[in-house]
Amino acid sequence: MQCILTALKAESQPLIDHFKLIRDSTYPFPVFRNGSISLIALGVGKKNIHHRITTFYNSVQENNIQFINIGIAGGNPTSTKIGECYFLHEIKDEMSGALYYPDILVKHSLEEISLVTVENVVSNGESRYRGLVDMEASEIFNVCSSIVPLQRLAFIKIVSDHMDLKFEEIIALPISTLILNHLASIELFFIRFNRLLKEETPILSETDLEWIHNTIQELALTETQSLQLTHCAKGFRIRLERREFPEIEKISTLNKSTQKILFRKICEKLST
Amino acid sequence: MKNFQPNFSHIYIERNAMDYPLAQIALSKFPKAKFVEIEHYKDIFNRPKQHFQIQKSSMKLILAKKTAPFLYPASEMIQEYETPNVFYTTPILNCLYNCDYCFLQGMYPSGNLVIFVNENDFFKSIQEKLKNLENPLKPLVIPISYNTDLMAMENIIPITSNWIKFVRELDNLKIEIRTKSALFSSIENISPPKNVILSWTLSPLEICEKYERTAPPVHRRINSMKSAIEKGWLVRLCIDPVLLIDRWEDKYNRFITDLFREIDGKKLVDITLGVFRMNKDYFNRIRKRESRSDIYYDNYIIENGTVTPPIELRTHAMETLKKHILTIHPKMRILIWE
Repeated sequence: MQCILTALKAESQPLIDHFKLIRDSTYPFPVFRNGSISLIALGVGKKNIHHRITTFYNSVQENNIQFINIGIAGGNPTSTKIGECYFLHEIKDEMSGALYYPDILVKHSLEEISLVTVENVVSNGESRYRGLVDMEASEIFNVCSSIVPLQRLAFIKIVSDHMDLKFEEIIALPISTLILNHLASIELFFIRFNRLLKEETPILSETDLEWIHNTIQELALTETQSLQLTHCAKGFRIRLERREFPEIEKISTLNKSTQKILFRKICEKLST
Repeated sequence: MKNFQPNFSHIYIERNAMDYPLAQIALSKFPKAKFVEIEHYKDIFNRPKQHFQIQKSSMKLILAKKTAPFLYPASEMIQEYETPNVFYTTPILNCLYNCDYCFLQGMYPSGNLVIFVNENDFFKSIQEKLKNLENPLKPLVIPISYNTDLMAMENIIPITSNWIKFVRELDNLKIEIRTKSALFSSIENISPPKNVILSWTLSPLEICEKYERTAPPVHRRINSMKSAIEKGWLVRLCIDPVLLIDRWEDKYNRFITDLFREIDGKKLVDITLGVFRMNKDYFNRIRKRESRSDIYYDNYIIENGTVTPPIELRTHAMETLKKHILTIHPKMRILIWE
């Protein structure tokens, strides 16, 4: 699953329209979904980020979630162009000084840049910041990296101003158009990024895990035996990708010694 | 895989490492890379929740300045060198290759490579150590390619040749450069010093194809090794780890026989042999990371914190291979990890 994280409604709207996302009213904050793509509107600044992301994450069955922050940012006038779309390779939290580095593993067609997350809108910071500024990215990284591995985070920013506007002036900009102009490259990135999830496919499938669970129950395996069975099952699955696990012998009276014999037999079958 | 950025698409460089000649050489080799200035290499390398194996598909380069210590006591995993003065050093953290059985995937949190560019600080620490040896009558032995494959990087950064130049004039110091690379050509114009051992790790073809997929093919390693012997270098052969796969005996014996048809065994310094072994914590970490290699789902015992095949098996394996080698070269010096 890919989960887009945005701050402003004007940032969300073109993405909601493009991916045909529908509001999921089971959440007390704006969440939009369509199949394997979701969008959480976080609002401006850091305050809602932890609650909204963790609430969403805890509510979905899917463990394999990628988080992609898409939004506008202020840019240094000498190093950025208004309307340009950038991929972040460094995020600094101005308040704490913490530095975050997203893993950039997948090909993308965007320029890369660093960003500083600030507490308040910067309207005269042209010379103070070398790259971009926003008000959410560091907190998004901080929250998301505590729940998913680093390779599942990505940050895409579009320059809306040169840090010379007040908040009211920024939200009056044609933000949706800025996002719309880059939808093609954003979507291409989504496709490539999604392929990365396949690299994380666990060795054991749901069916495999069910077989292990049943075996543990039927043979009343100890914790150590259960671990051993799982290791043997993983080895079996790596060697024989498609073969079914061996059938478990049915025994009417299971005592300690028959259990041990059966367990050993299964492990042997899995190891040969 | 086309989905991934190429290796070294990004170079992270510590601000205080920028001016070192090695840093400038590395940067010049990757003009298309994105350069990101960082405060400390650990800000990248030690981040929590990295995926070692996925990162191996798109490795990044980190250029850094190492601080002391520069020398570490040698691990019990390496064969006895008959001197108490054995230390290893880490000019590079992590390896260009990604062999299934390698302990680095359990040792490091990241699949990326760190190159320490302040090589003179390494050299100074060795000069200091030489003045203060536990047993000054024995040489100081330093494997310099223990946590990496230094020679594999030689086309990117000339660390191997710089080390060779440094140690040449030093008495009572031996260095070992262990490699799977086929890049002997990158140092072949250097005249061979008497205190540098080049060690090639070789395995039977089946092992190479299954467990050493990212290393050069074995025939290219053998060619490199042959060239080094012909040019008068001290060369060690490492058949390590010996993996006790199905019909290992036939496979390794045949491999050894064939190998000695290609290289002149009499010209080897020695041979090291050892079965698969790994620190228990590294092994468990690799398992937890769901390694796709069947090596991690085999039956082992844990002995003094080391995961290894049971003693009868490994003694039998080592004896078998030793015996076979000695039938071909009765005077061969064989070092065995037991």
